[in-house]
Amino acid sequence: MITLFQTSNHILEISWPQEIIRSILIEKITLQKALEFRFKNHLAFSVSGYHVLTLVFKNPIDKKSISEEIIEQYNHLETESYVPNYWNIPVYYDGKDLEQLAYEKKCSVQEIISLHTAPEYLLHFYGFMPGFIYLGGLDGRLHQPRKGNPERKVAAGSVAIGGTQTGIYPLESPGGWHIIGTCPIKMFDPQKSPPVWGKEGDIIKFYSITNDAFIEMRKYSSHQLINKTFNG
Amino acid sequence: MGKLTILQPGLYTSVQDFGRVGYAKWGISPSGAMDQGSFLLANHLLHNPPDAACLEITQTGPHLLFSEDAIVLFSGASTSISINEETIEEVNHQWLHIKKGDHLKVGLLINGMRSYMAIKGGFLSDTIFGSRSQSLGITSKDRLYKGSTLMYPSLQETSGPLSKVKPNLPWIHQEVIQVYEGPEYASLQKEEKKLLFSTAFTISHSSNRMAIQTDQIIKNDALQILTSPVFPGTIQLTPSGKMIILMRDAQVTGGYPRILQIKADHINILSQMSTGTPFFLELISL
Repeated sequence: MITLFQTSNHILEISWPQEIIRSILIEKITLQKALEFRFKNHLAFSVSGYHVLTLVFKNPIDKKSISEEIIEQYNHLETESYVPNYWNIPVYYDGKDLEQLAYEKKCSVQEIISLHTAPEYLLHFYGFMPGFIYLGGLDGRLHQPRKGNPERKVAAGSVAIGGTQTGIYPLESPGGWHIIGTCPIKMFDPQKSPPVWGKEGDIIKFYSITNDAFIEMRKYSSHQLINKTFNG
Repeated sequence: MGKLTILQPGLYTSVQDFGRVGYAKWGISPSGAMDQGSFLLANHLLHNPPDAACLEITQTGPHLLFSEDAIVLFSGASTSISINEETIEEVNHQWLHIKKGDHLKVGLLINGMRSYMAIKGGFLSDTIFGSRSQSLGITSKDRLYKGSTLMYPSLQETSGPLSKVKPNLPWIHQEVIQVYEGPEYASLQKEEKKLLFSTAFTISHSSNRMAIQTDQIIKNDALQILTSPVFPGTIQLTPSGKMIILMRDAQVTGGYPRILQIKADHINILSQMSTGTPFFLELISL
């Protein structure tokens, strides 16, 4: 199920079929763990995409022997070692594009909120910018092509929908996604290690809060505030 | 400790070292000196630890004020400077003895895009995730601005330079950038591949520390991909034919096909090439 590609003397990429699904995520996470242990002193670090796990080695590699090791580990994956954390993420649904989105989807704002808060999303990986989570599980009815003309400034904490994805902007940045709300919890804090509260494979649920609750939570803006308890 | 004050920042001056390696799992770019060769050489010639933080200067240099004595050294693109209005031409690789209260102005860079000013002992700004490299969202500022200050160690008794390395500009006569096949290279048509290696590319004005774009486009039908890992030196090809060469501050993942990967030391060469200078890509095997 996996193919290997050597990009440079130090970089080796492991690919699964191009899909955004839970089974690939679990294999990727458990294989990454197994290889980080197996290649302990030789691996500099690894990076993930939806269906790709890339290994970066400290020294030039011999593709043949590394590949054999990887296939060996893949054939003996311990997927039971995958234990996700569960996170409840508060969102104040008052984004500047929320009403326009409801209008285009021919439904009410409340229905948009219901569709966005219903699923259990999978945290596939971090990328794009520090603390930006790539989530899987957005309801198809909320899919919306990115704006033709991106906003010059999307505020930090903005919860948005773009294409088939949803996520939270950790920092202010230009962006073409449709902003539906704001999250009072910091997605990325460079003063902390780790600077993020989540990890690949975690499960996330959004819930709607009032403006008052948002203001209150904003005061603390700490990732300790996230309520971990919902029945997974 | 000494304090450096930035009276004028120049075009784009930032604190850089080797960068943050291994934090892509949190979406953190490696950052670090664009031309790592010149950065390492500057520290080596000053007998600094190899990873000591320097100033990376781009095209036009800053006006600096030193509160204490210091020794600095320039490497990379050629530059002339003035110390208290007294011009010194061609300073690269020389130990420059700065006195308390001196004004150092760095002029226009020639024969390259970036110059590195190392200081004895290295700059002492905050280390975040293993590096002092300035980066948006990571360090308090993304670069140095008018009024910015930087601390540096007080000068100890120190012996002079031992090695004499003639200033070199390895990129000056380099017309070829060597590349490996990227993960999506195989999906290109034969004619598209031919075009890749026969086109004289020039760097466009919209290039920066995140990416170098070329003026030329390569029309293509490359396989579209889900968001996947990318690195400095990764060349992406967009559906509209734009060639995007990712550099040190690039995002760690990307959704465009990754058709080529630049050989590590040629990333340094590319970072010194001026807009408009033509170069060719050459495919090499691992």
